[in-house]
Amino acid sequence: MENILEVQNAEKYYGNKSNLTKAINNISFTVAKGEFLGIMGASGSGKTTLLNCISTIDKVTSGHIIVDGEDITRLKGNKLNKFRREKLGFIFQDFNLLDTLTCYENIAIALTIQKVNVKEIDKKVKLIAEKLEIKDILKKYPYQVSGGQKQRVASARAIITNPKLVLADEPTGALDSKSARQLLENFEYLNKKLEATILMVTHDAFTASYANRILFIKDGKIFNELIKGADTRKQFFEKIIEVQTLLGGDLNNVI
Amino acid sequence: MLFKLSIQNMKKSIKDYVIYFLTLVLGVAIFYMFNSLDSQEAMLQVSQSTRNIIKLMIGILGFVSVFVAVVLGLLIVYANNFLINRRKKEFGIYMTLGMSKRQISKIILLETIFVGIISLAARTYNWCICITIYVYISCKTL
Repeated sequence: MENILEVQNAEKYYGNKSNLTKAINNISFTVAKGEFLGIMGASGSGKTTLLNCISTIDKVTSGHIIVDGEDITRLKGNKLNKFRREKLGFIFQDFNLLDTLTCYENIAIALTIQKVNVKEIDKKVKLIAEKLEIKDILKKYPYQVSGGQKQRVASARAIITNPKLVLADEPTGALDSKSARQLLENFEYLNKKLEATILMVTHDAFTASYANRILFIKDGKIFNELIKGADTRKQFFEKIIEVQTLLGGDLNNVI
Repeated sequence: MLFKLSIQNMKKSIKDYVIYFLTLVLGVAIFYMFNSLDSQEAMLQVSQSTRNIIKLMIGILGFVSVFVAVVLGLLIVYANNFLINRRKKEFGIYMTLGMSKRQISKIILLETIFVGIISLAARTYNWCICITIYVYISCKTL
């Protein structure tokens, strides 16, 4: 299958010579089209740095990141804007919706920036809203709806441009378990039915169990890899917990 | 869409703008006061001896007014940065959605024009200058 994302020997250093922190230390992996990849690791392990590098918010110190055949470490200026606009979708932990716009407009703005015509925007927004069960709240403002709904609006915004890659940074971090489950089911739907390639960073084993494949990162290196395969989610969840125990090395935290 | 965005943004950040304006108005007022001291009528109706003293004073004030202009300039830059910084996150969202710097500048420009129109309606001549400076600086900062 075609590779959407290819990370080749990516390295990211912080600080200067005398006090060097290797946030990402020689990581390489690929993500195929239609995959739902989870990245797990303790805080400070470099998972968010990795995501920031892939999302072009941050730059790698060395190595290459290739998204859909384009080396994003070399993009600049308008090309970078174009790349973000057309190929990436972002979902953040704290939603990052625009309070001044209604939910409908929040979703539509991604398309407006691409200069799609109004009728088509309307059609697309309504379609995605129906799929994510947010049709009733489209006219409301973000501060009038619940966290789970906000996150679904945010995921609608991320997916509506039909990006090659959807990047989610702790998407369930600010949600209660019920909304989190609902959101993850939506993710599964986006992944399976709309064939979106999703890359999700999380530290929560339950959230991660919805992914097809999980990379564990420790101290900036890939520590382990788990593939869901034919397992049920529950079996997969147990495996994740096992690896996490190894990773943390603290048995007392796992009941 | 951009149009609506700017109007809504302005409504939301009206409080910030009020602070901004008060700062600027105060600054400009002080500056004006300094520079118009010599053309006040009261100054023209004094005797010969005091006129000489006043002339000297105006000479000194000329230097001081340069200093005031510098301070005022810094104040405008600071007030402007304050406004932009408060909205850094918002601009960040625009950028992750793939908006170009040019488009963001356009939003700020539109907002400033609206604010400018309002100020004009308030018939404050001095504000025009501030706004031109503001637009110039906001385009530069981004």
